[in-house]
Amino acid sequence: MKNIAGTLIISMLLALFVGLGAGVYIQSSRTQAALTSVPPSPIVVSASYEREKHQVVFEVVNPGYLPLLLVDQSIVFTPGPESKEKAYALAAVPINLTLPAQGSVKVTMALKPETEELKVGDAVAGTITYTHPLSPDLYAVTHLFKVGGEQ
Amino acid sequence: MKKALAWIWFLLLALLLFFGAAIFVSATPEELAFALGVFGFLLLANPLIFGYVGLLGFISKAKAGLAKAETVAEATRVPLGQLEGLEDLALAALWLHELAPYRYTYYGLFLLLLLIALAPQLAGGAFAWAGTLAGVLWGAAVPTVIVFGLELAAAASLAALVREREKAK
Repeated sequence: MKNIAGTLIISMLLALFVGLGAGVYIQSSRTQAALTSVPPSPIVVSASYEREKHQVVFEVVNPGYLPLLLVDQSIVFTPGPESKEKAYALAAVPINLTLPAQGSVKVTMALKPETEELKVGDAVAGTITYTHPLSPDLYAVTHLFKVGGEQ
Repeated sequence: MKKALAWIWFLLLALLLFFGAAIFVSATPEELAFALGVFGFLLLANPLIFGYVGLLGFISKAKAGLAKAETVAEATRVPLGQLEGLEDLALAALWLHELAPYRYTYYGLFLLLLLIALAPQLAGGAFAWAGTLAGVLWGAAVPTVIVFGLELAAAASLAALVREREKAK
């Protein structure tokens, strides 16, 4: 390189590139630190009934950047018009499952044994209690699953 | 010139230290790694930065015909007796040449850091310290750009001086 203007342009371009890269790197580390200080709450994205095993499976997603511990689950069964079963509730069945950050996990909720299988119109309200690393408190998320025509 | 440069350098470092201390409390590990890379490689680049800035000053003086062999003797630690009677072009070329070992060492260590920082990515495995090492690399890139720019500028201005002298003949 024998041109002073050329050396200046090359150096400026390199400096811009390095500044951009370093800035993005530092900003992303800040963002990461900010996001990991926000406790996430799990989202139930799908629920399905497994007829053979007589259980409801919830797929739970963690949208945050902290792992969650799913502590236990409760089920409230409400019969529809086609069912002869009585309403019942199962409380505090332990799960003890870790839901990793940005991950998903399947939670199986075994229905009460020796009850008849779910019919159209039956409703199952599943409640999952969870904790996060920033607090010892217990939180709960409830998902209402209603058996549709195709199931 | 040299004294003013040293003062600017000192003020810059003091300013950086001041703001650095202010953000140190809330700094993420990645930012600390970045600062480590900047200051560590700035320390390593010190002879190069001073050398190339001094050489640029020497060349601009040589253009005006005011260059002194004492400046080169002081900067390169070559005995003044060996430099007396040499043309200023030769003195500048000698100075540029004297900085080459530092430059090779600097770029070699930067390349080593680059390899170490990129190794986890190249190997495809995720190491716990890979993100922090990338911070050291980005920090080290800052003085490297300065050294690279100064080196190019010194070589280019020396070449421009050579062309000027050839035209004058």
